[in-house]
Amino acid sequence: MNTYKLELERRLNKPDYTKLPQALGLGQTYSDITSDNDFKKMLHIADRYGQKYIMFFKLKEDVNINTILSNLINKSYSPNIPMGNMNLKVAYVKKTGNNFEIIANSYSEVMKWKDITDTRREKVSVITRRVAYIEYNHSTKILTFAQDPIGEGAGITQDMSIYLNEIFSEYNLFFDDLFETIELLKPVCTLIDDGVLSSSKLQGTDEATGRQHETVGKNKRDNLKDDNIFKALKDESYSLNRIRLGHKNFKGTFEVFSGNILRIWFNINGDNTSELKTSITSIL
Amino acid sequence: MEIILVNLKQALHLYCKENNLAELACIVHIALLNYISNFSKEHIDWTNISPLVLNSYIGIGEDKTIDLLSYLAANTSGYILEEYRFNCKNFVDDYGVTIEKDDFVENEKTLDPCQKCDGFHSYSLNIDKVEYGFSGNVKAIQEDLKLSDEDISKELIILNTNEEHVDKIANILVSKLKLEISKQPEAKKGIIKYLHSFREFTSVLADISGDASAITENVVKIGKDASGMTDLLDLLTGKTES
Repeated sequence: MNTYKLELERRLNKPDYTKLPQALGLGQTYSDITSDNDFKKMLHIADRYGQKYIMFFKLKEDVNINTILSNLINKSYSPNIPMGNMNLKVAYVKKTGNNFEIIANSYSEVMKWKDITDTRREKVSVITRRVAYIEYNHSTKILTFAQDPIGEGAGITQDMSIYLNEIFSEYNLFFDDLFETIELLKPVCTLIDDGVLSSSKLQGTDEATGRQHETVGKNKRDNLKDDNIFKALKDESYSLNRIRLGHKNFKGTFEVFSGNILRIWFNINGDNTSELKTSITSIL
Repeated sequence: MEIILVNLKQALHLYCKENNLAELACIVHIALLNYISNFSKEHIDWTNISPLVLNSYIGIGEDKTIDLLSYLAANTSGYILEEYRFNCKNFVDDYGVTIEKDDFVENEKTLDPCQKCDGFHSYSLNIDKVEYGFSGNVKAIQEDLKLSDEDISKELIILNTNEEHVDKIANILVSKLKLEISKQPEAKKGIIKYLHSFREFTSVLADISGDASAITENVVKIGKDASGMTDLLDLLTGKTES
């Protein structure tokens, strides 16, 4: 099977990738498409979605955007498919006015359970493509960095920083000098108060006593914003462990992880990716 | 073809009629409205509806209350949602995930991660232990079950006309009070007294559009009758012990 097609169908859900031919004006239904180039065009869109981790950054006050734009070089979409090597590579750069977007990809080896027979499962090693998508909007001066899973647990915080610096260093830019990380607790609490987001699980630590507090709502439609833990997280008398969240306009769970990473728990598509990013950037 | 009733009140009264609960329809109506009003929190759009707690106000049994709520969820739109609550598959004694009934697919991986272990489990209603849960849209329910003056007199008049019903409700309430057996008859007397004054009160409501002197007279009468209610209060607060 076409390698672009394989990757496209791995990244997105069927209802999402089958919409792409019409959205791109390819003149054929998905099942009729055979051209490598058409699958590549669809993957170019699909690479912007499906990531499981999103971080938000603000351009530092003293940084002139032209410094970044003059170093970045436009690059047409060239994904690392089929895999040349596993290293992180920039696949796409596009500057539009003072805005820019970057797609980068790498490969990593993961262990997955595979059904060998009806009653037997084995862990097998799978090499999987990992995509990073960077989007900068100069009107808000906010950069969003969406990343496929890399590594495990809290290590993602460090890994995302390494990936960002690696991508920008290709253009002689040191990311940490240009952008500052936006902490997500306060904006997320504001969105919960405003009713855009709701929370089904809150976990925080009272640093004074060393006690960990957790509240889980069993009710699907509940919102824990009236709970004391939420108030304590909001006024920072508790440090944040986790806030598990839902959005009023679509189904699916996500959460604030490590204070500044949005972790997506569902198969995100184009519509809800945009809705989620827009909701959050609107109040940053 | 399944017909979706738009109106919650209509569905609630229809359920009661079809399930030999017509005499309790007003109690069910008021209990649900009361539950939603008392257990909802400010600025929270949806509230949990516990069949266990709601049944303690209605007294038709928890299973029947679940059946009632399921019926309302299935036959109306936007008021009550039914959901399935499952335990974690890795920590079987701990709560795991809730799935709305309409989103549930047998043996298919959940879309939301488990609240206990973050895994994505699959469940079967036939095999896995399930707890039936319900969410209520606070504003929609309050708006639909709101009682107008006319409704109040119409609905509550049932209490006025059915002595046997008063006795039945008194028995249900006494059984919920968890009193010593020796104190139960006394409690029942107090409750009947309370219910009779409630009946008088409904006649005040029935007169609400009538003569002001009749209302005053009835209210004074209730005040006198209600004097016996302190006995019930003492019984429940344990003052008779001292």
